[in-house]
Amino acid sequence: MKRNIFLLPVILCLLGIAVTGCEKIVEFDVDEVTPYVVAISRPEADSAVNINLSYSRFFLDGHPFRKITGADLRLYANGSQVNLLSSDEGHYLFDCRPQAGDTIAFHLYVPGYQMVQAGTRIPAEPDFEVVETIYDTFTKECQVKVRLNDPAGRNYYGISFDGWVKDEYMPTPDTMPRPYSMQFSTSDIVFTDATSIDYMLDQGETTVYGSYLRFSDALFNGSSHTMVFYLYFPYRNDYLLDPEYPVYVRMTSLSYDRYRYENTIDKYNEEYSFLSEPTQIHTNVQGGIGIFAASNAKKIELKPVIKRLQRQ
Amino acid sequence: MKKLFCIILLFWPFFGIQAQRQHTISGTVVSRSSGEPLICATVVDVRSGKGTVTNANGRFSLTLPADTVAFRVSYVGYQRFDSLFCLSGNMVMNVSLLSGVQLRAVTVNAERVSSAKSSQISAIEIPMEQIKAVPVLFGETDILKTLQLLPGVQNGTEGMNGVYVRGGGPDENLFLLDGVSLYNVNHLGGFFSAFNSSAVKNVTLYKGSFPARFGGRLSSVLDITTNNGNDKEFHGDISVGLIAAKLSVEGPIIKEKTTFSFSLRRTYGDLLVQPFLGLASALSEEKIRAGYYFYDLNAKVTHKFNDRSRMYASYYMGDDVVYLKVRTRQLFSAMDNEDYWMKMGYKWGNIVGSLRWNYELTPKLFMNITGAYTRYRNNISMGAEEHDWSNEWDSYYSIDMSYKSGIRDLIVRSDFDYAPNPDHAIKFGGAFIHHIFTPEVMGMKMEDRMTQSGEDDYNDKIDTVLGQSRVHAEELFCFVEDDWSITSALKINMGVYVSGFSVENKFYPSLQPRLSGRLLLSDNLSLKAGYAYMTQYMHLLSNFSINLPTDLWVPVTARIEPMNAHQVAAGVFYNWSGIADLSMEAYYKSMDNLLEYKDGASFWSSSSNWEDKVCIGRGWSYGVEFLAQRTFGKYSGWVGYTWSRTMRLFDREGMEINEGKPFPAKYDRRHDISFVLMYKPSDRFDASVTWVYSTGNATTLAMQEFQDEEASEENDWYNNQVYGYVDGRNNFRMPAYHRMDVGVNFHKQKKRGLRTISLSVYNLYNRKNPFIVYESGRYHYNYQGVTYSSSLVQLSIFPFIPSISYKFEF
Repeated sequence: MKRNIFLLPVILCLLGIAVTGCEKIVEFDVDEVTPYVVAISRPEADSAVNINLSYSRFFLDGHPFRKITGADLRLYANGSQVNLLSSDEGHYLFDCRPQAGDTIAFHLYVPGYQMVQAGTRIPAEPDFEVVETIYDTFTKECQVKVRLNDPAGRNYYGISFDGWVKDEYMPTPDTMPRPYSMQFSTSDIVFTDATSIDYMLDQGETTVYGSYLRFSDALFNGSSHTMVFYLYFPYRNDYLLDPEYPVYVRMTSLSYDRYRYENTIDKYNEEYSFLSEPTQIHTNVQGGIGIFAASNAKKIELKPVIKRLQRQ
Repeated sequence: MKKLFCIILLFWPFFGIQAQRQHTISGTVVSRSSGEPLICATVVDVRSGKGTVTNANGRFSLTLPADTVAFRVSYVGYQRFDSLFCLSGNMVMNVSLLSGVQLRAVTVNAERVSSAKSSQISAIEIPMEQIKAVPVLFGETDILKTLQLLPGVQNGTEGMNGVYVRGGGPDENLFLLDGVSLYNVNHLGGFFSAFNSSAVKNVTLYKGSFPARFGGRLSSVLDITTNNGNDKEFHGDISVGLIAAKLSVEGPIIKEKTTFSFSLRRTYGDLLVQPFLGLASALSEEKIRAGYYFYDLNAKVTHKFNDRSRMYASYYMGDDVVYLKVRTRQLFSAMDNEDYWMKMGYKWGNIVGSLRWNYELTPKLFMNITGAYTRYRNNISMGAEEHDWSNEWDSYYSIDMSYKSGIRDLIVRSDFDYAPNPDHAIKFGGAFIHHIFTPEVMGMKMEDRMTQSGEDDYNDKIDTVLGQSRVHAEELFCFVEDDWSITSALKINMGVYVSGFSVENKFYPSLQPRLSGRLLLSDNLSLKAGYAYMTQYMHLLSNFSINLPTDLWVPVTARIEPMNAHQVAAGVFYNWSGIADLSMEAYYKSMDNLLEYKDGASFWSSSSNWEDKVCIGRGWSYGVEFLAQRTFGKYSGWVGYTWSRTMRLFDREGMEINEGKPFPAKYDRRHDISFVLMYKPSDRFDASVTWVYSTGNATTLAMQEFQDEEASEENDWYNNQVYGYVDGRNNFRMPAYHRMDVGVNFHKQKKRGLRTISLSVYNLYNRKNPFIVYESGRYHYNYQGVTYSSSLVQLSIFPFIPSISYKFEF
């Protein structure tokens, strides 16, 4: 037993080793560190098409992103190739102003890579009207009712509001009023992040907030739908919407890929926890990554009616 | 026609009843030394070849024609019982088998039932002797870790007890302790299982083709039976390991009538730390008490009213406890004094209590009535108190916050075993379960008061409870199954499990057919196939691959429908000249209404609105499993290999994961190999070695980054932001996992009992297996300035762990 007692330090040392964590650097395959070709473009109706090209970088590399210059980039509008107007530091500008219904696509050839391509169709301008705009003198909020006439098929939209804001207590001529992107709230079911559409139809309302919200027509496909929004200025309590000035409603028709891309970008920026799964950003660029997806926006200017409102 | 078919189906067992005069032999098979019922002992009439096996209570019923019977009862490790008599009427035959350690090598070879003959497919029974011999982490015998060495069963992360069976998740396994479900089967975040091996008598794992008596989970059933207790004399054992000590005692309360069995296990690391904390406290103004421990307590009392009637009362309680108390007392003067307490406590664990009455209604019909209560809960509490006082004023402030969640079940169940003739073994029964879910309740108590010159300046109190209230749900099920020997070569097990679950005014019914069959091609070779449909009504919300107290069991809801799975399996089973059982099984499992967390979703801070954080989809898994197993003799053990593939698809609109394309499940592993060898040359020494290898876990990693330079109307805030690009969920494979463990046991018969010293080494060759991977950055300073580089680092735990334990059996 006495001899055995000398084993104790040895056992303790071994125990010390046992509870010590070990770190080791993980090696990666060549395929995993090879950068992708990145193409980013958000074509809009009646605007020149601009495509940005760059390489992605391995996530452990800290070097700046490399632009792809002098690339063999070809843009096709409704099947016909269009001229490249200029290219500079990875920015490629084309002589093309697509209209609603036009299909545009690009083919990109970069040495060492397979062909990179993507296509999109310019969606139709959203068919919407503002039914009512009331400025509530009690809550200092502006209520806007918008009716959207949705065509058949699955469509995606985005909506935002601009308004003029004044300082309620100390307006100064050099700063006030000014146009701002307004924050708004809505209880319309189309904006709820529903996991089950059937369920959401059965349930009560949930209020969502934002300065730009996207939605799909899954709940009112092919019919008219009226939505109610309450606008406010979020950044300072003493800054209020000035009802003497117009309010602008901007609704955008989004292609599916654009809708998915922007949604995943939002999620990437908003939700992150070290325990959660990383957000997978949507791409429609074949052979590379990025986005080439169109939108078509319509803006309506309106003048609020000032009255006392009973909000439900 | 359909009605006729249903009638035929309902009465099929009775068609086999022959016109010839028949009598029934019924009874119990027990161990002569301990009086413990022997489960699955073989009872056979050698002359006719008709036979049966004993049930979980050691009972059997064998109906034979009135004739001479060569009655034989055999069980692994026990001396065979033979009797020749003329069967002229119903008779009771209670058999007590003599343990024959020295005969094991001979008798067992001849008598053990080879897996080739059973009609059950995808079921494995591991003898407790093997479980106790396998070397494991910190020398702590662990049933779940041993099961992870079987083909088709995988562990989650290094050292963890997460059990993943044939592509299923860790919440898809039904753990039954004496027939009652146990929700939390882990201690210390999953490093140890909640099953104290000293208290366990029998372990059977079903991976597929589940008999109809089981239901409620998709992927596996682990049926654990605890010791009843010796009905003749007192026995017990004491063991001390690196982290835990165990005590087990069993014996008669009334000899051969009432027995008890009691086991207790507790870790003692916190007790060893206390003197050091006491020393630290003595040297400072802060008094600290802190520690962590877990314990398990198993108790069972069995009473035998007569040969036909027995009562079992069993109780299990196990908790993990983390505690911290700090007190600071500063006495300055009459002008200002301060007393400050801070406390924190985590406690999570199970309680299971059951009362079972086993009664022989007729020699052919046994009944079990069970009433049970099972509870899993986790409580987190934090609080602080501050007391300041002087001669003139007195100030007191306290705050207590608590977080509670859990699940409680009240169960009433009845089971019947009916053996109309040797060709049929029918089981039927039903149960009612009342579930009470407490998903998340947060409470806060606060008191703030100030007294000056004996009068209250202010006295504020808050006592509030936040969070969801209880969710009640009712579950009902009934089942019927028949183990039917159609011919001597063809045997099937067919049945149906019918269940319903009522929650939030929604009722989910489910009809689950089960079928498995065996075709005996020769005495040693058989083909087996099976099909099972399973439904699961609850989910475990967990953020990480380790079990945390914040994991929550939640029921299906009006939005989230029950999970269900279809599984088919087929295999070849061969008993190699009594040397070993060889088997090859292939399976395909499809699962629907599976849940996965949305990108970015986390339950870390709150589980409220959990339905919005998950996506619903489906999955499938297929694979081939090979097993060569030898459970007896000087050399025993097994070699298992699994080739499998497990995929998920979440493509429902609005709930897409991985762009709606299929992706590998987190624990999809192409190869999984396990090798277990035990060597027992004598009763004084045994040794074992295990080696495991598996393909690395899949994880999601954004391996490329890109920059979105283009400002758009809707995301101009994020202009020029850098994004990590994930090309698919679970797109990165961690390095492969492998390790070798060895262990030796030295036994010595002492005057008062048997002493065993166990030495083992976990991860013998110090393999650095990945536990987690993370990005690690470092700044480099030189004459050119500062540069930054980062790398992906894997953290390994348990590189090389020797352990020693001492056990004394008396």
